Amino acid sequence: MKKKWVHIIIISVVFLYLFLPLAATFLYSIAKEWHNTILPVSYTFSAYENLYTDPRFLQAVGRTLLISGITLVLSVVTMATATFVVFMYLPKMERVLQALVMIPFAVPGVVAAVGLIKVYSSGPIILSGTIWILIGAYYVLVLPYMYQGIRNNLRTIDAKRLMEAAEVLGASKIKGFAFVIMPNMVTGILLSALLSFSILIGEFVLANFLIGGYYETIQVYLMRRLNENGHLASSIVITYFLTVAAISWMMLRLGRRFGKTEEIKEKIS
Amino acid sequence: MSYVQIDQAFKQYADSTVLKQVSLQIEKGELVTLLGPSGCGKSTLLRSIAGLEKLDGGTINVNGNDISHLPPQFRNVGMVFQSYALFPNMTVFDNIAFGLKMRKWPRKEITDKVKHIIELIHMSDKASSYPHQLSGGQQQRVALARALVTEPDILLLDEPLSALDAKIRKSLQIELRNIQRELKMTMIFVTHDQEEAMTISDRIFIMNGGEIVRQGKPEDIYASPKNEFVARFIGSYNVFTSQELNCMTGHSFKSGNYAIRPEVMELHPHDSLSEQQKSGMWISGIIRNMTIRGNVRRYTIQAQDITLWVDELNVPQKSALDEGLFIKVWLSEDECNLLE
Repeated sequence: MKKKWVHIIIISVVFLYLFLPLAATFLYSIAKEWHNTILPVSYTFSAYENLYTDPRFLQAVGRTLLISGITLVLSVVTMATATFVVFMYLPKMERVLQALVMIPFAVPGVVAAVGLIKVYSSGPIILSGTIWILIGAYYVLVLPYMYQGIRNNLRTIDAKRLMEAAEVLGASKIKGFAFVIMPNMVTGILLSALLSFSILIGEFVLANFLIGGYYETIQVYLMRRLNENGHLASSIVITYFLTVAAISWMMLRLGRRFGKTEEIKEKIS
Repeated sequence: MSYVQIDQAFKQYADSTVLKQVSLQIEKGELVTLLGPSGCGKSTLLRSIAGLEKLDGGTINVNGNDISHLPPQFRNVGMVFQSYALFPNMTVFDNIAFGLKMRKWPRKEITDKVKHIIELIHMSDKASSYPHQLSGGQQQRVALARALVTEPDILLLDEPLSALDAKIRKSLQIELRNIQRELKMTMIFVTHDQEEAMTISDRIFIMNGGEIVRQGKPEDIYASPKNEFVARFIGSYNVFTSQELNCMTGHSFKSGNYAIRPEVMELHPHDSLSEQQKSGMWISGIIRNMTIRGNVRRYTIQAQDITLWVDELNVPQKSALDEGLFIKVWLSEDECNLLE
């Protein structure tokens, strides 16, 4: 009983430590007058109104969604196929793929950005200043998350055995992949894509270095407006937090479904 | 030519040879078992027939067609996996219908055929259930139905019952045998469980180290194991050298190894007079251990420095003998099988 109270106290302290600044930021974002009182005297949502009606903000959101979307589609298509082929038919190549996907952890963002600008400013392929250089960099950035997620998914569903069963039942490799493997991979792919998306919308270094003002994404926009006024800055932080929280919630839900699939697989085997 | 004919099947992984020129023939409507310990090559042979492994040499003929080089989808074989490999995203109905859809059957015929086979496995009420909603035994029946529905030339079963508990396993063994007889389906069953092999097979092929070391009807294999590996693997035979037998019985056996079934020996009290009344060989020993194996009591007897097993029917009329008791073991010379 005594131990239970200790746990509750520790959890409450940690919870307060994490959420008090967030609560204060939220209060400040909706405060109209707040000088020498504990809570604001009056409230307004004008900061949010300003933010959400700013065409630059909406444009920046659109750009970020576009860049992230293209990156994720490319990543899902290529990585799902590559991981599947390596997992099923070229297991010896798995080490090469694992080494490749570790690159983003080995190269710091600033180094990668400077290197990419240098390589793609001249020469046969000029990408500097276009969205494609950022998409390329983002593609590499999300590789580990996509690869691990998809590979774990393939293992969980015992893709090899399912594919063999499909083939013996008369399916070609393509049909087996389309009708049996792919539907069972959807949850894992969605989970990886959401994780990658939450990383991409929080990424600032590459976005700022590689295209910055040429093509203002949400990250660059938010950084620029943070210094304009405190209420707006607070509303930006809260908006950002809510977006990431929503993605995390979706990931948790999908994760639970994924966990259930794993249980099912265990039951079956 | 036999219905299934495998000639000189050879398969090698890196340094190890998994199949060493394996040849076998199976007749139409037979249920044969590939029996052997883990790593003996039985699953590799089965997977080679299905086209899931490529042979490095040899041929596989089914129903007069050489299928050695065909991809799995064109071999018209059915397969049931140890892990069932049911498609988690599909219902029981869709799992069973999958093979027919791949063969582009008309929808109406698919529905009729699948309904019929679901009835055959007594799972009409589970047609719209997903695999995770079924018990292990039910999943295995669906896997069997899925493999049978396409009317394959042969059905391959890779240790399909090994993940089930003993009771369900036994009932499914009987069910499987009934379905096989009803459909007159040619089946190749892989298992490492000799009791299971004895129960369901028309013929058994015993494999060891990538080779078939013995083949025949279950009763023939059990009665005459022919070599030491089979004797030890098939039924916990006592295997003695001729010197050991000579030493225990006082007789003079021809040089070689001998297999003796534990149930053909009889235990008699040390001071009984049966030795004078019953002709045969007598071994003096002491009971070291007794275990109950359901309907049988197994005694571990020490005769001089040699250990032997004797099985006795576990009937209430006859009480078990105590450990440490001196006894005499009766044995007929005819029951000593000289091994190759």
